[in-house]
Amino acid sequence: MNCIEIKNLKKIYGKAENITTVLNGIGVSIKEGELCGIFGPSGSGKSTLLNIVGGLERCDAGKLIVNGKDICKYSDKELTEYRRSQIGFVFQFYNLIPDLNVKENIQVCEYLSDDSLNIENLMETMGLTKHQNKYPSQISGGQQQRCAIARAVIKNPSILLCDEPTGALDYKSSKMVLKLLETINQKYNTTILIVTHNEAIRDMVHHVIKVRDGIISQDYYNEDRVDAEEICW
Amino acid sequence: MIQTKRVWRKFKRNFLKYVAVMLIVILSMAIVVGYGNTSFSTKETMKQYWNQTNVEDGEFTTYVPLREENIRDIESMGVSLEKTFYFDITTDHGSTLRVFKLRNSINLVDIQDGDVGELKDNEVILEKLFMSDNQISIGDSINIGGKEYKIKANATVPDYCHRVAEISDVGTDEQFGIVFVNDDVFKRLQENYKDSTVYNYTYVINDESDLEETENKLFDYLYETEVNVEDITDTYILEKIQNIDLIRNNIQAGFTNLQEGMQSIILNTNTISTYLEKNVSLISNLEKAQENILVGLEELSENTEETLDNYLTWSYPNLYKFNKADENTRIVDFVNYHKMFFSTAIVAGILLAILIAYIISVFAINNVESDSKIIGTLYAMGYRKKEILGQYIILPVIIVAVGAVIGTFLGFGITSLCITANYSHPTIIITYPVGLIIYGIIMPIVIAFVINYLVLNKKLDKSALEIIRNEHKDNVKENKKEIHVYGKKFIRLFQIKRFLHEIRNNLIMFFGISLSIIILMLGVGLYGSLVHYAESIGEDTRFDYMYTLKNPLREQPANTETAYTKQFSMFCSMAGTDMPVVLQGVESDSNYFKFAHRLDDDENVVYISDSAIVKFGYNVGDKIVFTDSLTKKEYAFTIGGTVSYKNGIYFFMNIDAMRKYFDAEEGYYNTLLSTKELNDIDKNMLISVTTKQSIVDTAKSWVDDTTGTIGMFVGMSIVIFILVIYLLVKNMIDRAKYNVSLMKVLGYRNKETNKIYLGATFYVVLASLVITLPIGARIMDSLIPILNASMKSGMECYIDPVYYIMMIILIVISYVIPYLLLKIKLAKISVSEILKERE
Repeated sequence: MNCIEIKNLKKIYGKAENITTVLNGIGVSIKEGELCGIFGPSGSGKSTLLNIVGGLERCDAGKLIVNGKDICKYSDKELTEYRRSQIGFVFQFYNLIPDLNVKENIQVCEYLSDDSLNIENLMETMGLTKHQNKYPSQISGGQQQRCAIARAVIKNPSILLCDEPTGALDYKSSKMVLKLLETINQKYNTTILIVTHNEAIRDMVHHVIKVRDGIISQDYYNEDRVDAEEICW
Repeated sequence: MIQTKRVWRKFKRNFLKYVAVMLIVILSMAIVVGYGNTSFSTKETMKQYWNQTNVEDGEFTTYVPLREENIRDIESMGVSLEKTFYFDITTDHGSTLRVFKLRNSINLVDIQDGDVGELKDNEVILEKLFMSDNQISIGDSINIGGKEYKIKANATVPDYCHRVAEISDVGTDEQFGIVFVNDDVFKRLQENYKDSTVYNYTYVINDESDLEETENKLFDYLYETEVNVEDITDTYILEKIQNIDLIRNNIQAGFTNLQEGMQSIILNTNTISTYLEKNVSLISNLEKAQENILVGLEELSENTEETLDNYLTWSYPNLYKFNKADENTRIVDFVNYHKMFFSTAIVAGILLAILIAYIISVFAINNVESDSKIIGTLYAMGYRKKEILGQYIILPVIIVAVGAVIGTFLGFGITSLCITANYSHPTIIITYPVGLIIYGIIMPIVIAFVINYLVLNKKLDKSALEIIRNEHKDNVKENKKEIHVYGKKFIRLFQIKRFLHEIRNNLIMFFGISLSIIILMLGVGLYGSLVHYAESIGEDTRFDYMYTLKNPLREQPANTETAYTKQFSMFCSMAGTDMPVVLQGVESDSNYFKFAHRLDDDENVVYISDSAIVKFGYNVGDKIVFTDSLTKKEYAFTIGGTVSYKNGIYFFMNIDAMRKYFDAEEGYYNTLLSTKELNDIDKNMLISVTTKQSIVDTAKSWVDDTTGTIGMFVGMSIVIFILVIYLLVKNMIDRAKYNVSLMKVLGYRNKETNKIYLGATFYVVLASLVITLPIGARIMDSLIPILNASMKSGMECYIDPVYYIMMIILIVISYVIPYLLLKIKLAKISVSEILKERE
């Protein structure tokens, strides 16, 4: 079953003579439980696509159907509810709240769901149990990103959107984060979209989408998928 | 120069915020300087006015006019004297006009508006404030003594700046005015008011270096000068003298008869002794008896003469009243009243400046934190801390400086509005005391600089890397102890965390809100106290008319109560000067005063009014001393009880005890209390009439006169309240912009983000109310009597419980304004903010 269906999606920035078409008729389908990588160079529109799927930006034309509902027609309030109940976000620079500790940062999203995962188990999975009382400034980048992933995942979203999740991390931490994402996908059947310009990640995902100049240049399923542990760059 | 550009751009980017802060500075300094300057301006105005009008050094009143030789004696002491006799006339409209003739040399009449030329027989000059209180204009006619006079001009005089009938009167009665006529008109009018003319004289000591010594000499001379019986016109006194003379004559006549009788006996005894020549012993006895009679007659004669001289000779000092100018509240009250404003304004100014400095420091810290990467980079490149510090201090200091300059000069501009309207004074000369200018401009700048320097210096006291990484030295500790919140209340936890994270801002906000509440309470407290005073003064005053007489009437009118009234002075530490007090002897079962029990007939016991308690702080059982201003004699009493009476500063006694204490004759009284107007009293016997209505109206007029000031306090407090909350919470929101955006990305609803980022503010406001209202009430209890210290009545602080509810409602409504604005601001933070945080 298709979790996400995108049909002829367009996004334009600017006015009059200064128009920039960031997405120029994107069309793609993503199945439930897929680990999907969106690749492309800077300025290709991949992050914009992610933001629209996440309900953070609106499209100017086209359709975006998520779990049977056309998100493009949602009001601001409905978009908030959509993000609250169905979407988890992981950012490149973690965006943890500095005056909350690790556990509390995760609890920020636990609060939002009536069907959240068990926080203790999740922290254990993420390797954060012994850091739970520390503040973001007291832990490493990798630990911060793991905390951000836990925060996104605790409310058990159907879709997890990751925007350059390893962009600010070293190799070892990046591998650890990718491994976690893979585990989450396998364990919770969460549909995960990873936006990245790291081509190596292509090998670990189920579905590869390449974006170039606002259009899909490649869209295929990975027949020779490998585990995150095995990829290297 | 680059850095200067940055400062300018920063100002432009946050223009509204800095303008809001500047507005607080302007408002604060304007009011502080405005009120503070009233003290200087009134003092300078009156100093020049007194010079210009040759204000008296003092005045005195005599029972009968001084004789020419008295005047010559006084002038030879180096004293210039002027007769300022007067009498009071009641007009058709019920006003009382005190009639004077134009002054020649002392206390000159200062024309404010109108024609300055010679005063004709059909023209008068009327006192300025009376005219405005009664909507009378120049050119109108006024009926005085049955004849119409044209009002040629309005004027002020230095000896009636505080326009009261008696120096001991509490406040200005709108129905009491001063009128000036020429000599001929005065003489003509006086014909009908001979017995009620007050023989008042004003004096100026020619050599000011000898002022005190000459005044004392003058006082002693006047006190020792006795009334010449031939000059007395008061029928009561004349009757008394006649009675004394009659008794003396009777005694002397009786004695003469006794003398004659005894001499006759002696003569006949000689005849008897001749007849008894044969019986020598009988003769000797008879001769001894003769001798004893003669000796006894001589002694009786001497003692009788001495006794008659001591007890049956009428003599009385001519001096009735003596007031030096610096003790005369009619002259000095205007200046003294505004002295109080100065110290209050200074304290208020410092508190406000500290608040402003802390608010500004919050912005400065915010700037440092948001520029941390830049600052760290500059450090790394070799900039010194003080160079960077200068950049971040300069803007707050400039904002405060500009606001202080504008506010200070605006304050000078509103000085005349801050001056109380209840006095008859010339046009106010606005002074620009250097000290106040320095205070108004320099003080806020210095405080802003010092506080921001200390705060920012601490903030920048890190290495380049620490600043770039925005590391906190030791204020983020591993929090082993969790904050427990019950149930699914993460929002509450987050709220608490936010509150603690912004504890500095919240404490400053608490301080600012509390200060605004105190200012609000000052306005409401003043209003409430005045209204309560005006209401209860009417309830306490059970008589409708109080007639102060020169002497008892031949026959006490029906349905009146007698009282015996004397005036004294007592030192009031709150006012720092002597206050006039009234001791009134009343009937023990008086219908007009509610005593708890019958008045003790002990001569040494007095009953204190609640007005006096507020003024002096005495309690039952305390010993007090009254001083007679004239004779300087002191009279000691014990306070036996209290009574509710708010007009003036009154003490009460059992009238019989008072007569005994002051050696007044049995049945003596000089005051009549009545619920009905007494139209039959000879006006020549009357000193004054005080009506309940005039007492109430005077009290009510204070409410009207201070409405502007009260409105200013209330307005100022609301503006400060709104701006403090808005600026500080906006600052917190600005700092948390990305987090707010993140919360929205994560799916938090607007209601939830409002609760997290605005919810704590409500609790800060609530805490301020809960803590500050009772503390403020205690402060007002002390402050309001102090602000009214120079008033000749004790006014306690009274804030009706309803006013507390109104204040809370006003605070809540005022809170809604910044809350709504901030809610809009929060709603405007879009999810795109967090999306900007990418490489």
